[in-house]
Amino acid sequence: MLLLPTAAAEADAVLRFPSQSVYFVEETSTSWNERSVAAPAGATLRVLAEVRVVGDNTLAAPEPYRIEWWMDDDLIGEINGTLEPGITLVLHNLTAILPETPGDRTLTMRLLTGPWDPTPQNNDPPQTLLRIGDVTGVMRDTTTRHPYLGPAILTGLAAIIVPLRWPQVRGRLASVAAPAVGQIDAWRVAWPHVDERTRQVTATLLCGGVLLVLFGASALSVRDLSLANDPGSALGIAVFAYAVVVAVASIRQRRFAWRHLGVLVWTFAVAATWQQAAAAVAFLRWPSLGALGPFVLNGITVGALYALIALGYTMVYGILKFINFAHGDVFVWGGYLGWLLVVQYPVVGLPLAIIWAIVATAGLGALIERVAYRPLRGGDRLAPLITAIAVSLLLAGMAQLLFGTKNRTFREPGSTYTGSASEAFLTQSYNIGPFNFTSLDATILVTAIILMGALQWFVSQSKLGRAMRAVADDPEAALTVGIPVNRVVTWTFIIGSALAAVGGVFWGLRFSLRPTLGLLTGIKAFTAAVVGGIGHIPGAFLGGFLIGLAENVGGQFIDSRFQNVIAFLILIIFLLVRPQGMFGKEVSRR
Amino acid sequence: MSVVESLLAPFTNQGLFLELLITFGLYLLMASSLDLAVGYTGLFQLGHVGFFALGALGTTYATHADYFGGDMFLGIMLGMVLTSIAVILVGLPTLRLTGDYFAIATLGLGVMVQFVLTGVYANGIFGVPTMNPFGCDLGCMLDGPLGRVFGDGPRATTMLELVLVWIIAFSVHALLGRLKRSPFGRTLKSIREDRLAAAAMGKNVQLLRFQALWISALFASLSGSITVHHFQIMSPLGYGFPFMVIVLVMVILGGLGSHHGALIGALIVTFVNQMSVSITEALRASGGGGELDLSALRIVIFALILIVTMLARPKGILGGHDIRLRTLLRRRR
Repeated sequence: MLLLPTAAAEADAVLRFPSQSVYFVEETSTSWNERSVAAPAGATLRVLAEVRVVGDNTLAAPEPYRIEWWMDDDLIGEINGTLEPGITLVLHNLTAILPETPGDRTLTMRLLTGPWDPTPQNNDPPQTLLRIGDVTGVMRDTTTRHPYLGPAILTGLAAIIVPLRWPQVRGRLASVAAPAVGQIDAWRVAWPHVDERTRQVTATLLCGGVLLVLFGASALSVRDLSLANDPGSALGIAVFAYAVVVAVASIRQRRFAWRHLGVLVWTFAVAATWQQAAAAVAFLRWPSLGALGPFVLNGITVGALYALIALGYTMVYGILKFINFAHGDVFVWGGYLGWLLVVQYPVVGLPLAIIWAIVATAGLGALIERVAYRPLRGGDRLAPLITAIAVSLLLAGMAQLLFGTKNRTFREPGSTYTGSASEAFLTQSYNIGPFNFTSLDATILVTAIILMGALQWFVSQSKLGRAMRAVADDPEAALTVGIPVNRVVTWTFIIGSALAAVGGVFWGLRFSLRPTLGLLTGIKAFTAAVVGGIGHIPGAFLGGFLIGLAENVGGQFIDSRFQNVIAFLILIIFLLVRPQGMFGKEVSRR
Repeated sequence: MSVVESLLAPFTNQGLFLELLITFGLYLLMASSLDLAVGYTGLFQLGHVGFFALGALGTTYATHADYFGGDMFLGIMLGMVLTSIAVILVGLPTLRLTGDYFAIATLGLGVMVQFVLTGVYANGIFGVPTMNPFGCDLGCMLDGPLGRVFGDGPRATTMLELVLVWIIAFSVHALLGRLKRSPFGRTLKSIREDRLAAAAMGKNVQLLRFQALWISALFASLSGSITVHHFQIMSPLGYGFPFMVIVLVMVILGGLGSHHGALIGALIVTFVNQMSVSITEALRASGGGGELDLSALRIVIFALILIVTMLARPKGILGGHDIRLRTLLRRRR
């Protein structure tokens, strides 16, 4: 994290692990999420790992312990000490020399305790030791030639091109830069007859140019993140920029420009933001294109599943102007209902289970609509949303109550899926270029495309579909001409839930199901619907792929732990720049 | 312990009762401030817990001995600064949205804050000091003249903490009540009722909405700061969507837009929460749950409360009206 306090590093490379706790009382094995560092072979590596060994209060007497660091199979460092009862011990800082042979290394920290001489002569741990915890992390060899320069140039160019291409962004940028650039009197004095457009373009070029220079400079000079994090240099830039602004204004106006003090705050904020952004850019990892193959593939598969869920959101919103918040959890329930008959009570094969899941989930969707949403329809707009949130939590809670928090997959032993013909079909693997995929991936993609096409045809051609569009257009007029609005709404929920059920079963086949999955997946699928233009079926579908690809591929450039943030950023950007989505026509102010 | 006993446990167990009263103070801060945004301004924001988490984070950085080691005021301030940054970053683009979109965008913020925090501090940060104004924590305060007031019994620390939390919580509640009755609060109410009319009366609707969101977020952050001091651990796993719904239940149960309704809601939720935990434990001890994962029982109970409230009495217990202490006293006279 960029905002964390950083420690000065005097090694060739620094590998930083987040805080991790190991409990002294029981045998646990916990692992850090994967962190990687690019370091040349033979370099000195500094490992900053914050490990909290949480002592038990019932510990009767001080216990000796030993902490060992292993790189692959070699012991590279150890610390011996004594743990007092009830004390939390914090450890970090290990310096290691990397081996000469390049490649990925696994770093393991092992905490050992037991009745042994705390200062052993040989490195072999005695057999009586209780191994308390392993904490492992992977160091990946991701060395690239110019890790910083490329993104720096790209960001700077984007800062120029995007505002020039889209006037909306330009206006916003100009308004952001206004206190610093646009409103100073010097500007007006120097250039009195300037029109708004020229001012915006100049502000854009100025901001983009400064960004370009700043990014380039930091990219070339900033090798160590702690330098980029230094708020002092941001302050220096800010003070310098402020001095320039005040000097120009003072000279032009022939008096000292006290009232531009606000500019200082702005410049400092902008400079600090740039600094953090430069650090963020330097923080990016640059995986080779070949290594991205699996993530592109994963993104397409996940995207197809998001698309299936997004269809439900976009249909219900189009008709009721209401976000069916519980839709993400209906999707998870679809998966669980299929899982129930395949794994929990292995009675039917996968194809039948999919049909059962579709039927049962459609029933669930209709039930929710009937019991929770219909009584509130037509009233306050907030009430259905609150109820939908409650239903979402209820479904998640019920799923946890019934199925537990464990990750559930269809591949568990004893299920009707393992060893069946469907498994044999779905696990065949193919290889095209960098993409190594199974027929399950292909099935998901093809199914999603077929279902989307069928839905599009249904909505545009069939009688019920036309009724849906009529209700979406004007519910009261639809009622007047004899369209049974309630039945149409129920069918909308049934169709949306059925699509979600297909997605849920495939999610269980490809990944795993857990009760809390619905919330985040729901938000992402909703983002997909917004990105595509809400109410627009092919748009929601494409939006699903966009989100899936962006978070899986983009996650490789930052940290895969934070890849969930990407969908949220896309949502914010779309709401800011193009709230009507990619394909929406009218400007929505919702 | 039977189920009945476990239901009565908050009232029979003195230590647990005091603990619950502290929790009530913390919940009151959350509910009262959320009511300003949701009930008074009609800003349906679901990121309240995100702001709470930022307050917790700020306090942890500022007061934890491993990071900065400052006092609680510094922590509260840092939390509020972080919260303000988040409000600006999220509020500016999303405030022009209404209703559902705004709810989802702010919910996204809350979820992402929790996600990032969980990613960095999976197991939480232990060892945050207790409330330490000017570097003097609870133990240090009891060493001073306060020690004579609270004695040196086993509950002295808890009692002192309770008093401090309640002073903060109720003064914030009173402050927010004053704010809601002030011209500012009435303007917010007019925005909730009709934005167009408010704008036509010359009110800067967007600015006022932003201010309401900001004030509400600041007190959520304060609640987060004090919560971290109370539990002495920053554990992002608890700052998620279920907590958000629980805070929402408090506000909606009491009645959206009724100031003391938030207080009543917080009180009910505090005890219902503890009772559902007790029932879960009693059921688990007796093996009554079978193969069910009983830890989800609490979530299910709150979800059901919310659904039933919305269907049966959507305006909450107080029904959108507000009671004022002064009116009550006058009637009694």
